[in-house]
Amino acid sequence: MKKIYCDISATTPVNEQVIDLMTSIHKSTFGNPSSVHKYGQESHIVIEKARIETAQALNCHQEEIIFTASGTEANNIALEGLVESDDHIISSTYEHPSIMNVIKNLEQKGAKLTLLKPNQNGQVEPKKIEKEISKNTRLITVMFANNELGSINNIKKIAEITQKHNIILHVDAVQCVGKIPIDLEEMKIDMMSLSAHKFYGPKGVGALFVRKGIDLKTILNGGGQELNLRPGTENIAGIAGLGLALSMATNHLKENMLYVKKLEQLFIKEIDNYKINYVLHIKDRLPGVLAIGFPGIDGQSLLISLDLKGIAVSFGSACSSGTTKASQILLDAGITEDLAKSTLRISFGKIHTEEDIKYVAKELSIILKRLEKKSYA
Amino acid sequence: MHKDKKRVLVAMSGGVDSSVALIKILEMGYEAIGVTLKLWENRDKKTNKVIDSDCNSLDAVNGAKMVCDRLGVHHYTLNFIDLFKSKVVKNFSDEYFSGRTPNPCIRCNSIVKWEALIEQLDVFDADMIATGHYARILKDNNTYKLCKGVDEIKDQSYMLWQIKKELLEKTILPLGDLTKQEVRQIALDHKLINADRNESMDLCFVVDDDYREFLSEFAPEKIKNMTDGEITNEEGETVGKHSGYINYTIGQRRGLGLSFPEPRYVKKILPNENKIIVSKKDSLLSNGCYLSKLNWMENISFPLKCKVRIRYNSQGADAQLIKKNNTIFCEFDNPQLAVTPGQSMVFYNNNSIIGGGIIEE
Repeated sequence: MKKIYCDISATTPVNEQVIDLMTSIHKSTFGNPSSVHKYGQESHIVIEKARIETAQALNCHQEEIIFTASGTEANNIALEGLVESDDHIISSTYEHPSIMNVIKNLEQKGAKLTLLKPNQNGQVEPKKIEKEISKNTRLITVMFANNELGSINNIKKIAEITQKHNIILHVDAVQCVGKIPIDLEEMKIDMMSLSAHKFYGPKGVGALFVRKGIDLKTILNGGGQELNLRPGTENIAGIAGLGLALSMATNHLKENMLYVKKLEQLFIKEIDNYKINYVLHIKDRLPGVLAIGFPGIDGQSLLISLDLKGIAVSFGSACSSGTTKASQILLDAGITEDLAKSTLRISFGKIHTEEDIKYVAKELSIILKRLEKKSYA
Repeated sequence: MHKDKKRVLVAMSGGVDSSVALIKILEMGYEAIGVTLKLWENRDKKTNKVIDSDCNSLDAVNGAKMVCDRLGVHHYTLNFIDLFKSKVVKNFSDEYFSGRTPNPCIRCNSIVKWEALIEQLDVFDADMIATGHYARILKDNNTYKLCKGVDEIKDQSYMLWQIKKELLEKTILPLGDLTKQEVRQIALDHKLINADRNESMDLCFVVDDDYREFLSEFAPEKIKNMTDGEITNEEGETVGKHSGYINYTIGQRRGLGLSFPEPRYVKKILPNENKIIVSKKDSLLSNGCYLSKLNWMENISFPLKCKVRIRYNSQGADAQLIKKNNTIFCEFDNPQLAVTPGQSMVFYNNNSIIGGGIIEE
């Protein structure tokens, strides 16, 4: 059976060259980067090389990059390290749990929290953010792109606001690093989290950008690695994998974006040809990420039917459910409950061929015909 | 879309029986999909963290996933928590508060494991379901009969009487022709790690088999109204005090706090009067009872002579079913002990189930 992975937003396969690099590091570079001897020096160099690659890709300084074990860890280190008990935080209702649960905890510890709902385009409106700013506002944390909708926030505009009011801006950019251009010189983001496995790098490694001059409290205690913000012996191969994967993604960013856009257009054309009834939710989306509703069809059923045909997509938030529940994120973005329940996230990437896209569209049309009959029966 | 093989959803608990059921389904030449039904989450009262029970543990779900993976079969977890709570657990609680003794597993089989799972066939584009129950479905002149499993000790047909007859044709019970011994051997031959795992007979939603504690969490407002009451003899004379009628079942001897030269047993529970009537053992014998919620597997006419089982492990008693007062009454040939309202009575003709009902007064 043909197998086509269309869940690029969940994670990506690891690039061949990245695998080769990591394997060679695992085989030959095992020293503890903190050790003084040659073994340690070699490992240390691997990490610093990756830091340079990462800084170049994002257009920031290398000392502004902290390697972490995940995007989640980066988010925790940034928010918990910054916020004090009387601070006011502004964020959105559709943040990832690694933001949402941290700020909810901070709220319990005395911080004040304002959560803004996205608009119909799946964006948190900069004007609304500005309205909520008070004299105690310390932090604004908004995701760059939403994981379920694929919508992209106007971070440049939000950064202008935070600059103006002298507030710290943290951006969870896990979904879009390596997918759209991010220039930290141009965009005055103060802190930004990313994760390697979203851009064809390995799992278990992420990074946090912390602009010079921002002083974070230590939330993990240990031997002082990564500016004492993420202590613990470094994941050398993983960090090297992140560096290479990120520079490959940014070096080929324009051509990849064009290619993925083309695949996306082909997919729309194909499903139009099959006369499939669908609603594509967001206009300005990450390339290749489609939050797409099929009216009258149970999304969970559709996901399973596609899976049984070797096509992997994702559905809302619940990953295993016999009783389909609508995703709160879709509801917050103004999508009706029925349509939310019939909405899948299909995400394409550079690994796909035009032939793959045609196959997915064809199988989708066959399955929809079967499920439609059932829903009218 | 044409499939070369019929597709079967195999309900997987992660235990040895359902794992071997999957193996048999594949051997029979079907395409299989493993599904584990998530029915309940027990939460620790203090920490609110999920504590697993046997039916639903991570261990069990992982066990099912491992077996499916080994056999190259897709596996999905289906969340039936809401359905299970509203249709099975709520009934369990209501029955106890009505002074009756429910059998939630039987309700769960018919409502969740059959009706709800068969509704999922469309989702999976599947044709049939299979479970690891020890019972058989035999085809006889285009009708399907639900029969006892070959292994008399393990036979679970009693637990399946409530399944709607028309669902039998969509069901495969691959273990019905096997003994537990043979099933264990198949599991060992396939090097299934769970081959030696003991199965639990406890209710999956009740921690430590303590249903009283469960009810106090599930229906706290009802428990609040529960007060001590009188224990009387059959003549209506008070002989002791009970601690709330839900704590007792028909036929119970222990824990009554009574001292008589001859033991006393719970004969009747009267929730409206908050009273429990006790008697000597002889008086627990009953000549018959009414039945409700009947489900028929075969076409029948009354009076009907058959063998009836009034509990899971009973041998079966000769009886006659008759129509009486617009419902069905069962007359036992010989009086039966502790005929318990709320429990199931299943009617057999030799090995096959004719039907069943819920025992009333």
